[in-house]
Order: sequence, then C-alpha cells, then structure tokens
Amino acid sequence: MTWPLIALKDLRVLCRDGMALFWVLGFPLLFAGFFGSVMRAGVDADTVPMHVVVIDDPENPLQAQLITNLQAANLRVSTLPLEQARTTVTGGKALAYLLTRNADGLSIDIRVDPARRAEAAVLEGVALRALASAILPPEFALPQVHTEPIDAPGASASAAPHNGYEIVFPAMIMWGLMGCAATFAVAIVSEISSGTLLRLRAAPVHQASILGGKAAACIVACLFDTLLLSLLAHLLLDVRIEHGLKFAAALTAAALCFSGLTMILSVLGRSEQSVAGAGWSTLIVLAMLGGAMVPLSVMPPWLQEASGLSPVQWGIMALEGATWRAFGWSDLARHLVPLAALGLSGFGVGAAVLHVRRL
Amino acid sequence: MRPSWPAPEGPALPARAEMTEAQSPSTVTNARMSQPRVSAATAIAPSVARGLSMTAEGLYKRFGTVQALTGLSLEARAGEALGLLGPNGAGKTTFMHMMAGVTRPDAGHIQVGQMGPPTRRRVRRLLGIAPQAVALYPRLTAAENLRFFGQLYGVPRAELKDRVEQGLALAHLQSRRDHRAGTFSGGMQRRLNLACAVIHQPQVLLLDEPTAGVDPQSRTHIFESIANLRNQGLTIICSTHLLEEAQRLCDRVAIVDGGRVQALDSTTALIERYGAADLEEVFLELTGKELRDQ
Repeated sequence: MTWPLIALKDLRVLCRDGMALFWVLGFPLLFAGFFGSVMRAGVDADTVPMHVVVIDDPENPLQAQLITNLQAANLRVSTLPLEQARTTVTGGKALAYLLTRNADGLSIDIRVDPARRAEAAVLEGVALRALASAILPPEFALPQVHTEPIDAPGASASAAPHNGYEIVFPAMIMWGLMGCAATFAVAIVSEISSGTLLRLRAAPVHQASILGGKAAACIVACLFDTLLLSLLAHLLLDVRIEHGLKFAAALTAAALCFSGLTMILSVLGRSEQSVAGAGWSTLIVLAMLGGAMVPLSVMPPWLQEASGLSPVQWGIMALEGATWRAFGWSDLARHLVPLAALGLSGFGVGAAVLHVRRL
Repeated sequence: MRPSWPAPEGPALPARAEMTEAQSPSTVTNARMSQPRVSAATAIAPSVARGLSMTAEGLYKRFGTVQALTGLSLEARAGEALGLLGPNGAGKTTFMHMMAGVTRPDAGHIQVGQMGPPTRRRVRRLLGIAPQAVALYPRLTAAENLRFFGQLYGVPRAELKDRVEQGLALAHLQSRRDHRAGTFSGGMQRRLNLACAVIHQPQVLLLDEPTAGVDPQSRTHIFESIANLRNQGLTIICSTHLLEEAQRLCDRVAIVDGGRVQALDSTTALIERYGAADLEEVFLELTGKELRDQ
C-alpha cells in the first residue's frame, strides 16, 4: 500500500513550505482576528456605541432629558454649538447631529454623515423614542420592545453567537480550507512540471494510489488545519463549540469538499503559475459569493440568491449550524450532503482529466 | 507499410552475455573511456542484479498532429549500454517514456526480458529511470529523497538504510545527506537523480540525458557511476544528444530521427560504415544539417 507513503511525503513537503503554511494557517487567523473584531460591533452592541451630537441650546427645556434618554439607549452623546457639530459630523467623528425644534409642533432634525446613511434609520428610531420619553409625563409609559436573537427549534437558550468572533469563525475555517486547496493544487502541478510525477508513474505503483495519496494528504491537511484553527479560535478568541459531533461532521464534509476542489483546481492550468492564478481567482470568487469576504446581508438580492451556488456558503452554513445556529441533523444534512457530493465529484473530474492528459 | 526491423549492417559488439573474458565489459569500457577506471563512484556503487534485455517492436505514437514515433524498433541486449542519439524532437523522450511504462504506444509492443511489457507493475519494479528533468523533491533532504523512492519501489525496510547510504555514496553526497535537495547545485542534483534511479537495484536503467547542464567534474562522476553500473551487468538505455556521452558510455548507438531508428551499431562500426571521420559526421549524415526548431 503506497498511498500513505505518498501522503506522508506530501505532508512533509507542506510543513517545510513557509509560504504555504502562511496561507493555510496564518492568513485564516489574521482574517478571523481582523474581521472578528469588526463583527463584534454587530453582536456586542455596547462595545461600539454610536456617537451623536446634540446641538447645544440652553433655552431648550427638553435638552437635558433628551440627552439622558439617548445615553440610556447606549449612544455616546456630545453637546456642541451648531457649527462645531457640523464640522464634527462632516469630519467623520460622529454619526449625526440632532437639533430639536418647537415651531409648528415639536420636531427633531437629524443630519447624518452621508457615508453612514444605513445607520440613520436606527438612529431615527432611537431619537424618536428618546424625544417621546422626554415630553411624555412619567406615568405615561411607551410600549416596550424586546429584541433577542431567535431561538432555533429545539435549541438551548445559548443558541446565539456570544461574541463577534463566533460569527466570523466559519469564514475563518473556510479561508483555511481554501489555503489548503490552493496549496495542494499547486503542489500537484508542480509534481508534473518537475518530473517527479513521471517518476511516481514509472514506479510499480497503481495510478489510483498516486491520486489517492495526494487526496489523502489534502484531506488530512484540511482536517488538521481546521482542527488547529478551531483550537486556536477557542483559546484565543473565546469561540465556543457546543455541538462536537455536528461540528466534526461539518468539518469533515467541508474538508472533503475542498480536497475534491483541489483536484479540479489542479487541472485548471499546466504550470504552477497558471494553476496558482486560476486557483486563487476561483476561490476568491467563491469566497465573495459565499459570504466569506463580505457579509451576505449587504449584498444585493440577486447576489444573495447566487450565493447558494458557492460551496463556501454551504460550508459557512454547516459550521454555523453546528456551532451557534444549533441546527438539527436534518437541517445540517441539507448543507453537508452537497459539500460531500461536490468533493467526491471533484475527485472524479480531476482524476479523469489527469488520466486523459496521461501526465 | 511499417518499416522492418533495422538490422545492423556493420560489425556489432557482442552482447555482454556472449563476451569472452578478453572482451569483458571492463576491458571494453577501459578502452573507450579516457578517465581512470578506479574512482570513488566505482568503489561504492550499489550492486545490481544481472540486466534484462528490452525489446521494442514497431512503436507508433501520435500527439495531436505530431507523429512522434513512426514504427520504432530496437533491442537493448541484456547487460549492454545502448545509446539513443538524435536531434531535438526525434522521439527519444517519447520512446524512453514508453520503455518506462508511462506512455502507451498507439501500436507496437515492448517486452522486458521474458517478463512482459513495462506497463505491468511487477515489470516496472525491475526498471529504474532518471528523467531528463531533475525529478527530486527540493524540500526533502538527499537522504529523504532516496528513502522515499526506495520505499516506493518496495525496498525492504531492513535494507533501506544501507541502500540510502549506498545511494548517497554513489552521488558523492554523504556530507550533504541532511541538506535539502533544493539547495544543491545542478551537478549535485543530477548525481542524486541518478542515485534515486538505482536505489532499488533495477535490472534495466533508463537515462534521459543524464548529464544535461552539469559541470565537467559532475559529468565525469556521473560517467564513472554509469560505467560502473554497466560493468556490473545492468542493462542501460541512455538517451542523449551529446555524442561524447554516447561514445564514452555505450556499447552500441542507435541514431534516431523522425520517430524511427536510422542506424544501429557500435560507434566504430558506424564510423567505418559511413566512411566518416567521427560520430558527429555520421550523425549529421543521417539526420541532416537543418535546424530542428520545434
């Protein structure tokens, strides 16, 4: 049995390639560290409060109460004269300034930073509520609104990300897998161009053993990489993995999928340069489409629909389902099956093309 | 109509098995080689089993619009060193890949001794190949490269350590055993390339331009290593376009062009037959002087 021998050799070669290790391990961690800290804003809302400016008007009897109410809604509030407030907002140092008027009825003007109009709707709701609370008598209570992350059916109360890193964790795993896929695809074509594949094929080894060895090395590298990333994410970024078996199933399916993709990527060109270029281009498109670079929520509707075609999105959903989304097995299977199927198809297509080319 | 088997017209050297003591391989080689016979490479080359004959008959191969082989027939006798000389694009490498069992012919067949075609795995175990490109793993050390190819060819675990040491000695790389192959000079890589081809003690050795791009010192070392392997009875088929290489190493030379053998004989016999001053003149007579820019 020679495939383990070939697999071990490939893994040893990978371990000695510093740049490949960066793409497999270093880059996903950097990605998670950076985007995780960005995404914290979406989860830990109190950590990044909106900064607004209330126009200083000592004669306005509502000002003090308005400011108190805005602060109670977790906004950071400054009080400045109009000109200074305008400079602050146009300089990007505050989201908006608020000016209350009492001519022709009470109103509030909000002038928002043009680059942050998406947040204006949230601010409008908060400001309206703060103003209403300021003018209504204490005995008149506004209707209460309670917002909580939705519970998955049958899930425990903790079925929600408890920090931003848990949101980007699946994307980080995907980047690790994409690094593995690109690295091994280049390694396969490198064997062809350097002549070592010729030597392997001239050896008393079945061709299936050669391809099997390469596939095994890729799967092992993918699994090891994702397990190591998971451990580091748990230790360094406080990412929780509560559903171990489902998580293992998701990792295995994703590793299988990207190992199969490796075989397809390896036949996209005939030189290291062409495979590296075509491979990373393909993976980046899949990553963008699958939500591993830009959150799906900010994409236009047609692109959100198209994201369903990306295995990166299947992988992210499977990993989210196995971690904080708390999918049941049937929901999880909807993502695991396509991942595994694409992986196996990839092995078939790649092996067939390599066989036809008789490399 | 396929061409018939190219029968040698001039006097050929007897096959090594048929040689008398006076015509022993070392005697013939000594006469041909200008280098001293006793060398480090000679002293430490791994022992090999007796060579097998290798016969190719009526080989045809087409790649797209290019007809690479057009009925090539050739026999390497057991224990002889056979040179394949030809210009670029003559079909030498295609032929070598077929002999190694890597490429299948469109027509014709190859036989290794009585063992069958080289596409069979048990036959490939008897063959060693040093490809034209230096086929090594640059991130593995010299010893790791040798060990990997030894394991791939099924060298028993108990013998592997000794074989690796023998291979390192053959390549004269004992002091660099734990250095990565990627850090080696071209000559060192070529020597290791050859050592990897014989780590499993093959009976037929296929060499595709074994000294391409190396300095005279490494070339001399490789020549001596190959001559020593030949003297031990290994059958060697050596593809080259260096006439000096063919002259120094080979019992017989096949001049290949247009995908078939144009002439096959010993160097001396070929020179006599064509009334030429040297092998280069014979080569140009048979293959023409026009450039082969393909």
